[in-house]
Amino acid sequence: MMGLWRRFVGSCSRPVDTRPLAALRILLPLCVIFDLLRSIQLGLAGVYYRPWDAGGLSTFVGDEWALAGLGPDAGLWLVGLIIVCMALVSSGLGVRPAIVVGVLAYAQLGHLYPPGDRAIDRIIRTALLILLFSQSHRRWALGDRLLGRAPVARAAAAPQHLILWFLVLIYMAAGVSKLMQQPAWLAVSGTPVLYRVVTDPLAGAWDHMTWSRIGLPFFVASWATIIFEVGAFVLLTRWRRWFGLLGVGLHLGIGLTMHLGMFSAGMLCFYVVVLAEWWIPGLDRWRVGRAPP
Amino acid sequence: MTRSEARDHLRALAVVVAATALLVTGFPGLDFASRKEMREGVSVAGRIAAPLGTLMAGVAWFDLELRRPLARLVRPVERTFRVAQEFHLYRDGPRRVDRLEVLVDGEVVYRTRDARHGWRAAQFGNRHLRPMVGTAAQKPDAVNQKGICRWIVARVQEDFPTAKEVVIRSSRTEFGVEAPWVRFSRVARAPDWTVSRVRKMTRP
Repeated sequence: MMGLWRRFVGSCSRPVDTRPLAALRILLPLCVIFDLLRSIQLGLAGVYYRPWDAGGLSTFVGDEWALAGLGPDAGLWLVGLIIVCMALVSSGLGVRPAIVVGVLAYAQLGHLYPPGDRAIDRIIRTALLILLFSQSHRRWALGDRLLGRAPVARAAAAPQHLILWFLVLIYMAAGVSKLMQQPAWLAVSGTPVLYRVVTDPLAGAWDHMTWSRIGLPFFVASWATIIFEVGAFVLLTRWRRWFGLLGVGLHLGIGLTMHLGMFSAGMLCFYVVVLAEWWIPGLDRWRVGRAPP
Repeated sequence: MTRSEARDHLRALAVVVAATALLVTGFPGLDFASRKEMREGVSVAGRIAAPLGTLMAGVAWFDLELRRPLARLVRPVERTFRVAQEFHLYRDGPRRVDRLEVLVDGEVVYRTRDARHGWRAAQFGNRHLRPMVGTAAQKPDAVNQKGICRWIVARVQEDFPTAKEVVIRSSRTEFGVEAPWVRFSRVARAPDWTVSRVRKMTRP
């Protein structure tokens, strides 16, 4: 038992490249920024993030909405605050305080308008909280440049383990609940579940009439979805990157066939960690090739 | 033990705590089942085969006596940061094709995913609004429909200043079948623009 624990301690403390988590730290906040800017561009921020009495959409707010005393525009101030915090996190300036303030503000926005706070928002907030305990803020960070600090090239692997563990739980929870609710995900006849998902006009992008006579690709994609989600524990093994390709395919497929806003982009950000064993050496080779002789 | 070793052990312990918190709050499969379903599962499994019943009883014990009490400890953190760990992403597709339609003075101006009737389609399709559009199209008594109806009526008044009537209705068809039928509708008329109660219709 002690041997197992020591191996685990060793695995958590093992120094790993800080670039995968730094890339995640840069990309996830960008998704949030673009998502909020899109709401502003569409003129919807003032509708989403105001209470019902001030012309908002939702008739209810979450129990944890704590800023009612600041007036009807508190939500809009939060939007601005989140954009600033996410920009700081992404640029690497005051990352840790910006994560704490940004995630708290982002959570409050969710409490103010619960119907619009989706799974991807919770996923991003959780990932940012994990990054809070990493050294991702010490690589590719404006803060280091301004303070003249040397970046941290390698740091303990623990936060990276947690990000992968988190991904595994997300996918496995999704896969197992799919099978519990609808075993037809593995069907070989009838109407494929995935066909119904991607041609549902309320979320999908494809036309149900056009695709109604084509079954096999939907069945195969349904099985692949279940195989990937239920088998997501493979992301914890050395076959992670190969299995991750299936995940990239899944999210690209979702992005092409469904209208879920930043969901696909947000989830694809995590693949900078999953596929790090490929892109980090590739980046190093590219840099060596570009270096003057 | 050196300070560095002690720090390594503490770090590993923190990982165990964090990983356990994530696991107990979003345990794949168990997070999906209610207490009642868990108890019923034990009874059903026991009727199929005794060993299966014993196994299910063990799972139920783990869930009800261990996982849920532990998850309750994490709830305050979950609520503060709004990071509930239940991810049942697209368990199933809908059984039928539902669309939301908006008619201004009898003319369809918006229909979900219909390029010919694309009034404010980018807004209707925004990910934060889409859930409300969805429930308004699918559930006649949806809690959310009040807000989306009020928003639609206000936007119609902006874009069609001479309009006298707005109908917000749900149309439904089967997958692979073209012709939809109207399930229910809500109506608002000038000058007060109060959205009337839902009118449900029977399938032709």
